[in-house]
Amino acid sequence: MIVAERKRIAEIRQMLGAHEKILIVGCGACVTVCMAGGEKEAEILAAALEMAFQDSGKQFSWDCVERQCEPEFLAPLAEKVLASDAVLSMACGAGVQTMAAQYPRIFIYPVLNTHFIGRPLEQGLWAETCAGCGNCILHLTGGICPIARCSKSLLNGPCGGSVDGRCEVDPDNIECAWQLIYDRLTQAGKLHLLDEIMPPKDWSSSAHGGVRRIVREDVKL
Amino acid sequence: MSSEPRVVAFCCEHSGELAARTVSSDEAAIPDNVEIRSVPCSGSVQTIDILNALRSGADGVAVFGCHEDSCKHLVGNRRAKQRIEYVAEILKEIGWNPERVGYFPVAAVEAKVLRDRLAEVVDKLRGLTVEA
Amino acid sequence: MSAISRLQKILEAGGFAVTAELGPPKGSDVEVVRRKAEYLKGVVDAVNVTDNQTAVVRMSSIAACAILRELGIEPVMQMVCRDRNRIALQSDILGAYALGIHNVLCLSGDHQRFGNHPEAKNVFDLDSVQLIQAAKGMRDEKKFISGDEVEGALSMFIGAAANPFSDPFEFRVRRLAKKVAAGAQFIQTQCVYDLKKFRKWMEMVRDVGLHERTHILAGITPLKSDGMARYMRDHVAGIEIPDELIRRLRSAAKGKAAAEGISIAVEAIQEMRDVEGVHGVHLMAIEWEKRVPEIVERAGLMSRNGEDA
Repeated sequence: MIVAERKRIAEIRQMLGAHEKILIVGCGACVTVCMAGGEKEAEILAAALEMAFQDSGKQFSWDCVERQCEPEFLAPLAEKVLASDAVLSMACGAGVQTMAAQYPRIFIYPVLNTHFIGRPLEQGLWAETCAGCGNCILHLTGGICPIARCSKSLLNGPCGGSVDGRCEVDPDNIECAWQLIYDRLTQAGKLHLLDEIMPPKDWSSSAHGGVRRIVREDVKL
Repeated sequence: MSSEPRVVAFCCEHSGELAARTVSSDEAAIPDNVEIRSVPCSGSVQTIDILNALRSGADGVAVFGCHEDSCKHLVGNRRAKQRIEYVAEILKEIGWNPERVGYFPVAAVEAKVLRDRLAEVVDKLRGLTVEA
Repeated sequence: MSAISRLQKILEAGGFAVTAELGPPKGSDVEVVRRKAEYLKGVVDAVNVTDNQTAVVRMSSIAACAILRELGIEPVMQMVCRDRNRIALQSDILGAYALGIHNVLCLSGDHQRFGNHPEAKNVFDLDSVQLIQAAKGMRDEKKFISGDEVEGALSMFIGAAANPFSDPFEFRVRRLAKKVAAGAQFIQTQCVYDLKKFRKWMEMVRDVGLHERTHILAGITPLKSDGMARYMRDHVAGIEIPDELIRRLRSAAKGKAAAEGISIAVEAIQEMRDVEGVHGVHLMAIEWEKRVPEIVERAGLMSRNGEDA
């Protein structure tokens, strides 16, 4: 899922400027799962900001929608949003932009920093897993993505900086993806896959290729 | 501020609350400025509960839970301790004194420990100004 | 007919090659390059120029290589995949040949986090294996990665790096085989201190016949002090230094640690010459280039391959 983290409250306070009626909107999808911008987090932020701006005249309220990236879910908020000076969106970048597109005359502020597509390794720990390259080769690397999980996105790794299964860029936090791939393929009896030279990647399907969109003609009217 | 600082004390029913009952049936009763709220486990106290207590007039919040390794729900007390630390961080970020909140391990029989901790908390809060 | 590299001629004639490394300045001063080059001219067979090593901005490798060429020194242009995409890399291979640079060492490159511009975006469009393959394709098939034809002559002696000491150890030789299959004609290893482990690695290399398909040059970096040794051991990935060497450096007389370090390097080179499959040494005396002549002399390697410039 998309993994994000709440900005520091100091930064959020700066955004508030002279706004007085502030609505905080959470999102029930990915950011709920990574505990950054769900219902709980929206309520907590509203309480904390109210305490921060006691006696200032600023008023805070909060709400949460199923998914902030879809206009259908934002429509019911119209009355509350239009009655506010500013909205603090606790969604990922996609949700913030949908909110901004839906309510272009209201100031929409991003409360989260959206980081990556990832998964939880344990409660409270999420790691980057997928780079959205648009051309998945996970079947060739034992189900471990070298684009997202190798610091250099090598396709014929590992490099010389792999020591004790850790990546030299940040050995405490990053495992060497190629060590993991090597171990996994060895386990599966498929190590020969690594003897093949993987040719240069076609990056045109990734973010490098230009702003992307996906169409389902069978679904569009 | 009229009198003593107001404290909300969330007490785990397996430890803190039992200790509190002993204290209140003893000669040194729980002072009026301390409100005891019983909870099934210190780990059930949510971040928002602590913030709401502070927003509605408490000068400080204490959470009394079981000692390390004694939690009936295994890790509830560890969650409570971490949550208090999380709230302390939020308080720092909004310019409030993080020492307004604290987690205190106490056993059911440790009535004196509970009484002493409460006294320390109240003492400390007396020394703080409203938004310091 | 395309020109052929001097380094290639020496290795293919069965000679023992000595190469050295030169780090360009963090500025534009040609004198810095010239001064370092003075120590190496006539002493080693070719000089590697690093490419923004450890992601610290320095004069470009291609420029410094061109300067070496003018000084009559055979350059080896190092190219990393971190900063340039396939368009720029292929372009630089063309430019290098045009400037008389005939040796290229293809590397992945240190991550920018290690350097002085950690906020930079990195590239890594290709990895080192793909770069080797691209260079070979440009030279042998006269084709770019896109399939377009390369116009004009192009000859490159293609090299790669190898680290016998990083992990997974059992996989290292297989990865080396990939680089050789991709077209790596010479290999320069990471600096070697643990000769026993190096011999083991060479045995594994010989077991699959790689020593006959590529020329391996063992890396040597002379140590200046036990402090330097400990720092490298603890902070540089893939460097292992036996305690014995650290002890020797520490117990050297005051002011004599560097001399001991040189002696250790000389001994290592002498040992290397007896290892089957090792066809040379690569001296990485970064910021200590002035000691290279002494090392080469004491290792008995002066005037081994003739003096043609």
